[in-house]
Amino acid sequence: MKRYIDEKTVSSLARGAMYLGSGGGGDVKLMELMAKRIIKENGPIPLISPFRFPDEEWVIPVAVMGSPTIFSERLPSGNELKKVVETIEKEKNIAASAITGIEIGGMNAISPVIAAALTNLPLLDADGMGRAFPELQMTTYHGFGMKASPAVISNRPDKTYLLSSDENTEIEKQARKLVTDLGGWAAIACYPMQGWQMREAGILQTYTLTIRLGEALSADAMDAHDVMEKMQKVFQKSIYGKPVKLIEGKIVDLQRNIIEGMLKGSLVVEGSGSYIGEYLSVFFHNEYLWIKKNDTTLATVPDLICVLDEETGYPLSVEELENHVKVWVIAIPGPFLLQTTKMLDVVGPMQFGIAENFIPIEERLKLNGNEG
Amino acid sequence: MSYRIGIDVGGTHTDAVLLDEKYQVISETKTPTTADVSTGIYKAMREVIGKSGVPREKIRYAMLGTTHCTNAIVERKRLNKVAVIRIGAPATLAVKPLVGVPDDLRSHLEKYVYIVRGGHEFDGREIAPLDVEHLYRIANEIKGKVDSVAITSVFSPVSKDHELKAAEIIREVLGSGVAISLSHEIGSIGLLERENATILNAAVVNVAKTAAEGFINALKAEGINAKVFFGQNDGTLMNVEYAIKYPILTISCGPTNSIRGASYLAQLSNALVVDVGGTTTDIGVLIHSFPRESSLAVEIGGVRTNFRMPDLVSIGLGGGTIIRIHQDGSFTIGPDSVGYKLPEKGMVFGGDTLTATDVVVALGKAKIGDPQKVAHLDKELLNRIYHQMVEMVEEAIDKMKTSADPVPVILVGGGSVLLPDKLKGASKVIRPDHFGVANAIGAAIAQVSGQVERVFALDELGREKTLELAKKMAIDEAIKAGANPETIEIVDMEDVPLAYLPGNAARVRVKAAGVLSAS
Repeated sequence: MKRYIDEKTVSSLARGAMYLGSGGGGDVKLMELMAKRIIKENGPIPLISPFRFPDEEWVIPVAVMGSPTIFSERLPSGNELKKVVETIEKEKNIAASAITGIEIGGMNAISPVIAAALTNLPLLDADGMGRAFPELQMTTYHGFGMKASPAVISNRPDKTYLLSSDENTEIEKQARKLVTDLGGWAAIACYPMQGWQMREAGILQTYTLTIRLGEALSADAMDAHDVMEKMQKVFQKSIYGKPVKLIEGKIVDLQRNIIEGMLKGSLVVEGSGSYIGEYLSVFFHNEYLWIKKNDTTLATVPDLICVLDEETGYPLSVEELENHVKVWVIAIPGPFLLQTTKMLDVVGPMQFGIAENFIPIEERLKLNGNEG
Repeated sequence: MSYRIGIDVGGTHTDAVLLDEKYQVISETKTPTTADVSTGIYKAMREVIGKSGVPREKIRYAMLGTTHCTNAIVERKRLNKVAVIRIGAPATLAVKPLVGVPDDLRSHLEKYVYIVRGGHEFDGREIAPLDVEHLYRIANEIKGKVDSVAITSVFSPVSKDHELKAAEIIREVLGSGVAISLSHEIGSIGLLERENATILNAAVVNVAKTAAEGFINALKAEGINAKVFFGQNDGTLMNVEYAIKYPILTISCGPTNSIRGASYLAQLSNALVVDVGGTTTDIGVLIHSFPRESSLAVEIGGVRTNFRMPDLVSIGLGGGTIIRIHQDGSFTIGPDSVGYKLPEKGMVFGGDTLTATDVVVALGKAKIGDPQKVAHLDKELLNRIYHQMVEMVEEAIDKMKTSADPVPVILVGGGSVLLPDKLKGASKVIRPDHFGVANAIGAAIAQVSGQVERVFALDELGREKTLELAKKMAIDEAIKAGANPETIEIVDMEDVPLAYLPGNAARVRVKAAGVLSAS
C-alpha cells in the first residue's frame, strides 16, 4: 500500500512530533505552515517503507539546525532544503531516490517533508534520533558507523557551504560555527546513505508512528489524562515502550541558564492529588534529560521525558516552562536502538554529564518498587 | 486641588470614577455598556462628573480603558484600507504575510501586500541592503488607495533602521495623512506574530482616532479641558497621540485595570485578585503591583500575535449567573447569566430567574433587594449550591497560585458579595472600599511606562552590565512617555537565554513605569 503525506497528515505529524521533542526540537508551527503550503502547491508526498527501498539507491537525510527563535524571525527563503540536497548529489555524483529524517522530535520531523516536496522525491519512513537531540553526531547514523560527510549547509537562496571530514564530531563543530556566522539557523543535509546502510543505521518507521500518535491526539478538548491514555495505546505497539506517569503537580522552582550556547537548568514539581508531599526534579540541557526524586534517579536520557500541561495535555518545551503551571511529568521508554552500547556511548547519560549508568525506565521502576 | 476621571469599559458595565490628586474617590458610577461603546462612555463620564460636584476646570486628566479596537477587529468593521510591507527578502519568502489569518479578515487586508529586500540578522548585520527603489515604486502604487501602512522588518527589535527608512519614503510620497505602523514599536521577536499585530494595528487606526476625538469632544462639551490618556494591556497609559498611532496596545486593558485598581485599593503589591462581575469571575496574579503576564501567544479576532496579556483564569460565575434546580434535587450553576438585566430578572428584585445573587441573599450572606422574595427557598439545597460556587472559585485560586503556601486574596467587582471572608488557599481575604469600580480606579491611577525588548549578546558586556543598559533604555522610554523620572521603577525584567547561539545571546525585556509628570 502506497501512503502519502497530505496537508492533514502534516498536522498530525506536527502534533505527534511535539511529544517526541522531549522538551526540545523547536516549535513545529512554522514548519507545519510551510509544509502545508508546498503540499497544496505540489501535491501530497509519498511516504515509502525503508524495507522496500532498494539496497543500492541513495537516500539523503535533512534537517534545520540552529536557534528555533531566530528561525521564527528570519523565515526561510523557501528552497534552502532543496539546495542542500542537490549540492550533495552533485558532490557525490549520485541521484537521490528519497529524502529521510535526522530528528523526528520537534520541527525537524517536518523539514524532510518540505525537502521531499521541493525535490519531488518520496520521503523514506525513518530518522536517526527517534526523538530530539542537540548535536549532529547524536544519531544512530553516527553510532552505527555512517559518515556525516559530505555535509551541506545553506540559508540563502544562492549559496551553499560544503563541509567534509572523516570525523562526524568535526562536522558538527564546523556546522555549528558556520550556522552562527550565517545568522543563527541553516538547512543541512548530511549522512548520505544507500538503502542497505539506512536499514542498518536508521530508526525505522518513526514517521508512521509519529503520524499515528498525532492522529490519536487530534481530538479537541483533551487534558493530560486523555493524552496519556492515548499515548500509552499508541506507544505500546511500537519500538518505544509504554509511557509512565511519574508525578502530577505544580512547577514550584525553575532554573534556566545558558552555558556554551545550551539552555541548561532544572525544574521542581511539587506533587498534588495522589502525589501529595512528593517532589520531583527534572534536569534539562536543551532537552529534558534526567528525573530525580530526592536522591533516586527515576529516568535518564535516552529515554524520553515529557512535561505535559495538565489542562491541555500539550508537551511544554524547555523554553515554555513557567513557574506555577500544573503539569504531569511522564517518561517514554526510548527505541531499543538508542539503548545499545554503541548508542549509549553517544547519547547515554554520561554524554550529558550525568554520572549515572543508563537503566531503562521500566527496570528502574521495578528497582524502586514503584509501579507508577 | 486637581482631579482626574477614570473610565473602564467592560462587557456588561462601563464604570467611571472621579479621583482627587491624592487618589481619593470623590464619586463613582456604573452604566450599561452600549453597542457603540462611546454612548456608554459619555454617559458614565457625565454621571460621574455630575455626582462629584467638583469645578470642571479642575479636572485635569481623563483616563480611558476602552474596547473600541477589540470590537472593530472581532466584527471586521470600520477597518482602515491597509498596505502591508515586509522587509526581509530574500529571506522570509517561504511564508507570505497574513498566512493563518482567518479568511474573512484576510479579505479586508490582503489587497496590497509586498515583500521588499532588506532586514537584519540577529546580530544587527544587514540581510540585504534596503531596496529603496522598490519602496518608492510601492509608495507610488498605493498612493491614494490606502490610508494606513504596516511595515515589518526582519529583526527590527534588534535594528529598526530599515523600518524607519521605509516609513520616511512612504511619508514622502503619500504625505502626512497616511498612518504608518512600525513593527518594532508593537511586538517582539517572532516575525509572523509581530507582523500580524502590526497589520491589525494599521487596520484600527481610524477606529481609535474616532474614539479619541469623540471622547475629547464629549469632555469639551462638558466644559472640561483634560489631558486624555488611553489604558494599555500592560496596565500603563499612553497619551492620545501615541494611542492613535498604536491603538492595538489598548486591546484587553480591562482585566489589567481591575487588577491594578485592586492593588491600589488594598495597598498590596503581591496578591491574588478575584474580580467577580455579572457573568464571569476573573482571577489574576498581582506581582510587584502589576499583573502576571501569560506566556502564551494571544489571538485577537482569530489572529496569532505575540502580545503578552495578563495571565487570567476565567470561570462562569458572576452576580447574574443562572442557577437551575432540577426535579431530582440536583442543580447546575451557569455558565449563562442574566448579565446587566440582573436588576429586573433576579428574584430578589422581583424577577423570575434564580441567580447566584439570590442564593447569597436567601442565605443571609448579603443584603440586596428584597430577601422576603427568596425566603421560601430550600436553605439546605441553597447551602449546597453556595458551597459549590465557593469551591469553583477556590479551585481557580489554586490553579493560579505560585506555590502551595496561602496568599492574600483581594475581592473586587460588583459581584464579589457572592464570596465569603474565608477562602481555601487565602491567607486573608480583603474587600477594599470602592471594590465595585476597581477597574475604573485602575484606569485612573495607571502609570506611564517605557519598555525595551531586544536580543543582546551577554558576553559583550556581561550579564549584569547588559541588564543595566537595558534598564536605562527602558527608563529613558518611560521619561519620553511622560513619566516623572523620580518615580520611575523597573516593574518587569526578564532575560530568556536563546539556545544554540554563541556569545550567550539572550532576549532581554525590561519595563519601567512611573507616575505622570505634573507638568
